[in-house]
Amino acid sequence: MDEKSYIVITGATSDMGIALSKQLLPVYNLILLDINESTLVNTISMLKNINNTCNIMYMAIDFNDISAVGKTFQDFLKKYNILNISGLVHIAGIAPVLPLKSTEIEDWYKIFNINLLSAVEIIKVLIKKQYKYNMKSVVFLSSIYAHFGGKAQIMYTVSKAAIEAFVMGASVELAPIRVNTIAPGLVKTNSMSVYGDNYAEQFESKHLLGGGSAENIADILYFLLSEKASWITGQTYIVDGGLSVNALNL
Amino acid sequence: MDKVEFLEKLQDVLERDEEITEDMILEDMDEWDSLAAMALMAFFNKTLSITLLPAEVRKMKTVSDIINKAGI
Repeated sequence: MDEKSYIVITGATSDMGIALSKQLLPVYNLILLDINESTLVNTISMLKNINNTCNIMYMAIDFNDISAVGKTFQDFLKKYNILNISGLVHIAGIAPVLPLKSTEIEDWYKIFNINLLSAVEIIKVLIKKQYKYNMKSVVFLSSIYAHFGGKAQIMYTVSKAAIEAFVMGASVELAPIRVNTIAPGLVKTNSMSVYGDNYAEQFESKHLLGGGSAENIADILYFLLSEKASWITGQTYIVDGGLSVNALNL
Repeated sequence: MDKVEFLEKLQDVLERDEEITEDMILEDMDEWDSLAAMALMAFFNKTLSITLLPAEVRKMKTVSDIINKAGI
């Protein structure tokens, strides 16, 4: 019998999702969720080349179709008879660059659906009696933008601050399941490339510890999932290479 | 959309009280700052369904460059 528990990762084909999956492979089985099926399939084939003893399940799902998320996820677990799930990491998120006056109500609904509510729906499944006794840890991705403003980032800031508040409330209700979040600074990943080549270089000098990588983020996600973090819940960890604390270095 | 309508919408996007003409240089406009650039990208993406990247905006010097990119 396979005793390794499953970790559910949303946004699994992102750089952070992949970096985390690589770290988890030897110790856990994985359920990878993301929007694009073929990207998921390619990601899994790459992971299997690294370690093929890990059981990796996957499902393509659109988190903006929020009313279907809970049922779709539950049906998936039932179909494959997966009961031993010990963790959830919610990496999925969008970060539209929109000045306040350019935002429309649908934009606000969409970012809340994807960045927060999809995880809420998945958590509601994972705290049902058949799953809750195996669940140990939920980790979200907030952002340094939940602590400071930025141009054309207002919806992102609000959605990430909402995650940090959710973590506080959920940790109280779901104990002993631990619920935490990290707040990364500006990490150089594929999703940042839309800002142009010099974006990361421009901002790296503002970080006391230089630019951050997806692996830096995976390290702390791994820690928060693990028993090493067994006395930590309801917390936000700022992981920004010293960006925010350096704010007065003008 | 024709050029006249486009320039009217552009005036609104850039929050400019006076008319915008094709030959205007972006740098000379008080309203042209990084937030205006982002409003322009949002306008292209949402209203014109054209993906406009920050690097492309950086290359634009005149209103005419914007019109060309919009394919008008």
